[in-house]
Amino acid sequence: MKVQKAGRIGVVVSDQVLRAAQRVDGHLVTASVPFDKDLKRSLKQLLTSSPFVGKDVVVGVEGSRVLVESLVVPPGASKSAQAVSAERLKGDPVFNETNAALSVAVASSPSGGGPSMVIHAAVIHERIAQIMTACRELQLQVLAVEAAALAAWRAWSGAGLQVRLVRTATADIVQAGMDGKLLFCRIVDQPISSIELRATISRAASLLSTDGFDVLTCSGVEPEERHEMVKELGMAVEQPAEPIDDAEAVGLATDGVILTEFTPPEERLLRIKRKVRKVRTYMCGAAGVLVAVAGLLGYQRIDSLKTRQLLLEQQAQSAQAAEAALAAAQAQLGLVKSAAEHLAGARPGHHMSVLFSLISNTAPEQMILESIKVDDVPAHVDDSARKDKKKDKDKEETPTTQPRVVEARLAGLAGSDAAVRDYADGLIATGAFSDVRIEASERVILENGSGGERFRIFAAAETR
Amino acid sequence: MNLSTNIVVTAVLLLVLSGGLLFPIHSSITELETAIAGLEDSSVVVASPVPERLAEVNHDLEAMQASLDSRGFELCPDTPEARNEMESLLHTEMMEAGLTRISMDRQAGSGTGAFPSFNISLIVEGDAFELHAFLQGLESLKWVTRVLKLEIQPGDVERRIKMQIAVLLENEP
Repeated sequence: MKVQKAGRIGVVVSDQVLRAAQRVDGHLVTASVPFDKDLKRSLKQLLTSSPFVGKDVVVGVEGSRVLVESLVVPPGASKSAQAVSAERLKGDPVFNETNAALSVAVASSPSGGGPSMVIHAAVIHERIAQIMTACRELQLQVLAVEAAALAAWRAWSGAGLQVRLVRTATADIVQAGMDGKLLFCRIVDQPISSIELRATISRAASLLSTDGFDVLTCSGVEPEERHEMVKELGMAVEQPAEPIDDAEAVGLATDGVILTEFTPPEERLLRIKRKVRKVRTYMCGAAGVLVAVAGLLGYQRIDSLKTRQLLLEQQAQSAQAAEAALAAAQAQLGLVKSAAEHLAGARPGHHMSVLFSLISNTAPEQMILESIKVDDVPAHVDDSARKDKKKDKDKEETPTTQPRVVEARLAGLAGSDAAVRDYADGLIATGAFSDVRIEASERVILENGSGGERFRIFAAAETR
Repeated sequence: MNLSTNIVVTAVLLLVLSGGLLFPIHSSITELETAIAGLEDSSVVVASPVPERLAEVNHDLEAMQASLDSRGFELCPDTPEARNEMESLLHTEMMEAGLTRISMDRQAGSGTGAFPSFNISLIVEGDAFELHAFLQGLESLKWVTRVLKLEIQPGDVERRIKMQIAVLLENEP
């Protein structure tokens, strides 16, 4: 759906006709309907006769129900411009204080130090009330009520001192001003005579403290008539850059300074309330959007944080479970290690079969081992050795490993003393015995008459 | 009340309302952030090497268990059945070694080192080779034994041999 950029609707309410203009997407929309006493119906007809957009209207009053005049208040006057205007209308049968609302616009002379220029307008109360009632019933937002003739100055822009002639259906309006500011206005029945026009322009020039104007800008004047004006006035007569048929309606539809406003106080209050409501609506909308966005972001953040918290809690639980599992595994490992050490300590540090084999195989051929006695007994450790061992107790010796010694007592018969010693040396040479002693060795005569050596050997092997 | 006052009042009301709506969210966020900071600071969560350590310990445990299993020997359970079985095994070993059994007595042992034990006194007859074979067989039994006494009496090839064998029993380490 295309959104149209539309300005406000300027509505001119005159005695016999209603006119309207609005800028929509840069184009000017205009309409005109007859005014048949029923303002509401005529206004509704006016606004539906052309594609006007929106409900914001600025209403301008034209015709017999409005009076517009320019006055001059000399510098140093005893009365204010407002008082001068009121004094001017005092006793007026139509636009007196009782019947009409007065609005005054005051401007100092463009040259400075000169007289103040006053434009005052008066509109009949009845017409204002009539307009407001119709607008209210049609639910139009009345932005302002002003004199339509004065609004015509806003119809087009100009720079510097200017004089304009605006022709409407019933009147000719001569305006003069500087830049966007209207300083002089005179309304006369149309068509204005060239003499009167020249006189009015001269008066305007005099009030604006200028020698004269070079150009008269006209709106609503036919080209032939403009040519005649050029001849009669002796000055250039031009059209606005953008040709405008209804300068009053266009001026009302154009933003700018409203010189004289007749909007009733209650309507101004309603306008403020509407503005407040509008601003409140925007603020609430903006705040709502901000809160919604912040809330959404906040809930997303909360969601993210909850996920992170859950993850961390799960990690913590996993870590605790792993710690417990580690402790259990370490305890089990300790038990297994202890069992392994226990079992290792249980096994003898020697093989009796090997010892027996060494004892019997080391014996020379001419030797008879008559008896062998082997005892596996705990080792006798002296005090100094015990102290030395105590230092390394934790490192080298477990409670289950205790030093023991295998004591072998060998008795037999050998061919000679040398054979006994050789046998003892042989036992030492096996490396299995730490101590080998020949306890007894004596020469004996055997039954067959030959000599022999009877011996007893003690051998000790350290073990555990 | 003019336009500015109205706008200011509306703005303040909206601010209060927005604050009222958003404050619980802010509180929740703050609370969660505090809880998360606490969790992150806790020593439990901080990059613990527990899994790695657990894997190492389990590995060590398995290795230790495997080492234990591969030893092939253990302590004799302290039960009558096990003691009887031990006697049977000894008898079998004697027979296989070729020794002649004279007597076999079971005695309560006084313990060998830190281990409780029961003793078996054997009197057999045989030669050195048979004795050696018997000792080898004894050492290859699954239960740990210790020859406390070995006495070979004088004689010819066949000798009388007295042995006292301690059979080590299981006990709690």
